[in-house]
Amino acid sequence: MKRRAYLRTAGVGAAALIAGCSAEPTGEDGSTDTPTGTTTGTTEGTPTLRVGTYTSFIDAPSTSPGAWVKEQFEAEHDATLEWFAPDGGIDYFLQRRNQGVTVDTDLYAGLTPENMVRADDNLQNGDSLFDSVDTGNIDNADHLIDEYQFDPQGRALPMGAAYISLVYNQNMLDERGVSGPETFEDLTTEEYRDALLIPNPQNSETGLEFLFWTINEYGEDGYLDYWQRLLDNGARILEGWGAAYGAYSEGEAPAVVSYSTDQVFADMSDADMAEHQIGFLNGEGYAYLEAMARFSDTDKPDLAESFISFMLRPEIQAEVAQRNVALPAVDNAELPEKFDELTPEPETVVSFDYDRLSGNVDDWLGEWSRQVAEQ
Amino acid sequence: MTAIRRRLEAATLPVAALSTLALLTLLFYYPVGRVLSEAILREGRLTLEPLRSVLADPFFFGVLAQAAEDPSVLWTAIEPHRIGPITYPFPNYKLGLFGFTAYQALLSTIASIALGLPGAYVLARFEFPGRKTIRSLTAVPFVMPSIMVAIGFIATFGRNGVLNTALTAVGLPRIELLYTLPIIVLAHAFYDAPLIARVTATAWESVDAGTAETARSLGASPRRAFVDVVFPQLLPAILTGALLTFIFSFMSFAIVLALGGLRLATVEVWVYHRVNQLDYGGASTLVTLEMLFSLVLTYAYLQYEARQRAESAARPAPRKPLFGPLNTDRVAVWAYVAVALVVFVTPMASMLLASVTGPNGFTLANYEFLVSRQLSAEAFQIKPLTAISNSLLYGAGSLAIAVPMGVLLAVVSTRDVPGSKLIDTLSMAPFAVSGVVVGLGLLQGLVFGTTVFGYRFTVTGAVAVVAAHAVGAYPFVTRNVAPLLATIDRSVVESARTLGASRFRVLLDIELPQVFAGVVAGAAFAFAISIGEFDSTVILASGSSAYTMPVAIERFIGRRLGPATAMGCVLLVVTAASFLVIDRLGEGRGM
Repeated sequence: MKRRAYLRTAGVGAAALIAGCSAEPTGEDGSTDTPTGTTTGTTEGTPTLRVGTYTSFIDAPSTSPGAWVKEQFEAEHDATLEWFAPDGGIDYFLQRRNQGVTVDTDLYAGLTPENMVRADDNLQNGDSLFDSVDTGNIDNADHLIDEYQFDPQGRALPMGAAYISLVYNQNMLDERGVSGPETFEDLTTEEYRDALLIPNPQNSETGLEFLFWTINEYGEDGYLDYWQRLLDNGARILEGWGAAYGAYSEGEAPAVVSYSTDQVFADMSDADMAEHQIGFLNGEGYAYLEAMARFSDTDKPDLAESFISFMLRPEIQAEVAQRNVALPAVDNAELPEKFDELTPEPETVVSFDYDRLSGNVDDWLGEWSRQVAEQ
Repeated sequence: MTAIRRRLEAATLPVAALSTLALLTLLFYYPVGRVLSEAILREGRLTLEPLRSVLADPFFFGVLAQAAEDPSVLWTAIEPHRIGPITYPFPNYKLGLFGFTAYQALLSTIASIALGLPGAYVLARFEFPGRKTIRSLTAVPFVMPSIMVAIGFIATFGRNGVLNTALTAVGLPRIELLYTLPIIVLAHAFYDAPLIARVTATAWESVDAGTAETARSLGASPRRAFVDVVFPQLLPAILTGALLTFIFSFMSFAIVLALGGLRLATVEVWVYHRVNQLDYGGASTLVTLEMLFSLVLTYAYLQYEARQRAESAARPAPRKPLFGPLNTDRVAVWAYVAVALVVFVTPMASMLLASVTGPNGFTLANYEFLVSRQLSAEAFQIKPLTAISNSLLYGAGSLAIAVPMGVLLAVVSTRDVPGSKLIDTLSMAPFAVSGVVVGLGLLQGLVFGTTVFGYRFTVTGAVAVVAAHAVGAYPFVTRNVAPLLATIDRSVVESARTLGASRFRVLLDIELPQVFAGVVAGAAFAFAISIGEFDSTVILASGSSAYTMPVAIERFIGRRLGPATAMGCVLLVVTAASFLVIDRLGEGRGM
C-alpha cells in the first residue's frame, strides 16, 4: 500500500508545481505599463526601496551591517528598505537586463570597478545598467576619498574600501627563521617556498584583484613571468577565498592573499595575533573598492539618491565600516582608536580604475588562466 | 467500481510517462537546451565552428589536437623514461584539459572500486552488530559539501593532519599529499567508493548461493567459484557504480580546486571560468563536449548491461560472522576496516572536532552561534532550523517524485523495444550536464521567466527546488533498479498480462517486490542528491526563505571555520538519521 501512496504523492507534487508558476503580462513597449522597482513588500503609502548587495553585507557569520542600516534608514525615512542579495551578485542583474527582463531593484551597494566594467562591456549599444547620480544632492559628497573614485561617468559613488594584502602566520615563519615577506620578489625566494595560498582569480574577486596588483607591479608584459616564478616556488591557487583562507587556518601554509582588516576578526575571537600578521608587499596595498550605483530603470530615483546620501553621512559611514569590517569611503568618518589600530594602512594605495580595466580584464585573465592550467 | 479502477490502473502508466516527460522538459531539457543552444548558434545561425575550434585546440585536447595538425607529433613526442636502472621509450604526450580530466576521472574510478569492493564484500558477506546501520550510512559522504570535505581532508591528510601526526609520532617521514593528484583521487573515492560498495553489496546479496555451491561440488576451488560464478553476477553492479563514479569525477570542480589547486584544473573549472566571464557560448561548447562524452560512455555501458541477464536470487548465501578466530579472510577485512576508518571516518570526525574547537581549545561557541542565529536572525538572514526543515521537506518531496520517475524510466529501458537504450541514455543526461549550466538555465528560463503569448511565466521557490532536485536525482533510481528489473523472468510478467492484469498492476505486484532492494538503494542516493544539491538550489531559492542546509553552510563560511563546520555537523547528523529511517521504512517491504 505504501508504494501506491508514493505514486499518489507524486501526482500531487506535479500539481503543486503548476501552482508554483506565476504569469505576468508583459508590456509591448518594454515595461512602461508594468510596475518596475519593487514587486513585493509594498504597503499602502510607504514606498519600498529594494537594494541589491552581496550576501556578506547582510548575512555574515561574524558581523554584517545590513540589519542596522535597514533599521536606521527606516527610522529616518518614510520608506521600507528591502535587501536583496542574489547568488552571482551583480551578474544576476546584468543577466536580467540582457534577457530583456526588468531589474526590479533600485540600486546596488557593493559594486567593484570590475563589476562596472563588465556590466558596460556586456550590454549592447551603449546601454548602461546604471545611471549617474548628481553629487549636488549627496550631502557629504565633498568628503569622498579621491583615490576611491573609479567611475569617470559618475554613476558609482564609493561606499567603502578594504586593502588586499598578505595575511601571514609568524609562528610558522619562525620555524623557518624568517620574518614576514616584504616584497613581491620575496615570495619567489627559497625562504618562502610552499608558503603562499592564493584564491583563484577566475572565481574570486580577492584573487582577481591580486592579479591586477601583480600587473601593476610587473606590467602586462611581465606579470605572467612573475606568476610562473611564484608557482615554481610552490604557491597554490585554490578554489576561492574560503578554500584558501580555510587551508591557511589549518596551517597548510604560512601566508594567504586576503585583507588588511584581518586583525579585527582575529581580535573578535581572541586569536593569537602572531597568526594574523598583515603584509603589504612593496609597501603597497591594492584597494578593494566598493561603490553604490542606481539602476537606470528604477522608478524611485529620488529615494535611491536619499539612500546614497544617507549611506555617505560620516556617522553612518563609521558605523557601517565597523560592522562590515572595512574602511569608510569618506575622510570625515570618526572611527574608534582600536579599530584604527587593528586596520593598518599601506604607504601606497594601488588600484585600477575604470579606464585601466575597461576592455582588458578578459584578456589578462584569459592569458593567465591558460598559462597556469596548461596540462 | 472495479471497472473504473481497472481503467484508472490502465491509465496510470501512460499518465505517469507524460508527467515525467513534462517535468523533464520544463526543468531540464528546456532550461538546459536554451543555454546549450549557444554552443552551436552564432548570431542566429547554426554553426559547428566553436566546437571545431575547441577540438582543434591543444590546450583542451592535447596531443589529439596537435596530431590533427601534424601527425608526426605522435612519434616525435616519444622520449626515454627511466625506472631505476631501466630506460625505456614512452610517449610524452600533452594531455590537454580534456585528457587530464578523463585521466584523473579514470584514476578516481579505479581508486573508488578498490576502496568500494572490499566494503561491498564486508557488507554483503559478513554479519556483525550494526551492519544494517553502516549500510544505511554509506550514502552520507554524498551529501558533504565540497568545502567541508576539503577542510576534513586538510585536517586528515594535511601538513599538520592526523595522518602526518601519527607518522611523525612513530618516527616515519611526513607525506605531502595536499595539492597533488593523489589527494584529488582520494577525495573522489571518498564520495564515490561508498556508492560502489552499496550498489555492489545489493547485487551480492541477491546472488543465489546455489550457483556457487554447484561449482564447488563440481570441484572448483572457492577462488575459482568466485571468479567464474559469483563475480560475473556482480559485474553489472560494479560497472554501474564505476560509470557513475567516472561521470561524477569527470565533472568535478570545487574539490579539484580546493585540494589540488588550479594547476590540476579540469574541464569543469573552465566551464565555471567561462560562465563567470559571462561567455555562455564558450561555456556551452565545453559543456556540450563534456555531455556528449558522458552520454556516449553511458550508451556503451547500457549496451553491455542489456546483454547481462543474470537470474535473480532464490536463496542468498549465509553471512559469515565478522568476529571470530583470525583467518586470512578476517585479517584482510580488518585491514580494510583500518583503511576505511582513515579515508571515510577521519575527515568527518575532524570536521566534528573543528566544530567544537576554538583558538583556546574546546568550545561550544559555534553551536551557540547556530542557536542565536535561529533566535535572532533577520528575515533576510538564514535560520538553521528553516534550512534543516527545508532540506528534509525537499528531500522527501524529491523522493516522492524521483522514485516513480526513476522506476518508470527503468521499466522503459528494460523493454525490448527499439530506441529504449537511447531513451535510457538520455535519461542519464542530468548527471552528464554541468551543474553550473543547469543552474544558469534555471535562472534564465525559470527565475527570469519565459514569455509566451504576452505572458511571462516564472517558476521559483520551494516547488521549483523540489522539482529540480527530483530531476537531478531520479537517474540514481533508474540505474539501481534497471539492472535488477532486467533479471526478472519475462514469462511471469507475460502470463500475468495474459491473465488480464494491467501493466501497472504487474509492475506493482510482480516486478517491484523483486527489485525493492534496488529501489531503496536508489531512493537513499536520490535523497542524498537532494540534500547535498547546491548549484540549482542557491539560484532558485535566491532572495526567499527556501534555502537548504548546504546553502546555510556556504553562508556561514567566514574567517573562522567554526560556524560552517558546526552547520556541517548538523547536516551530517540530520542526513545520517534520515538514511536510517529510509532504510528502516524500506526494509522487509516487497521481497
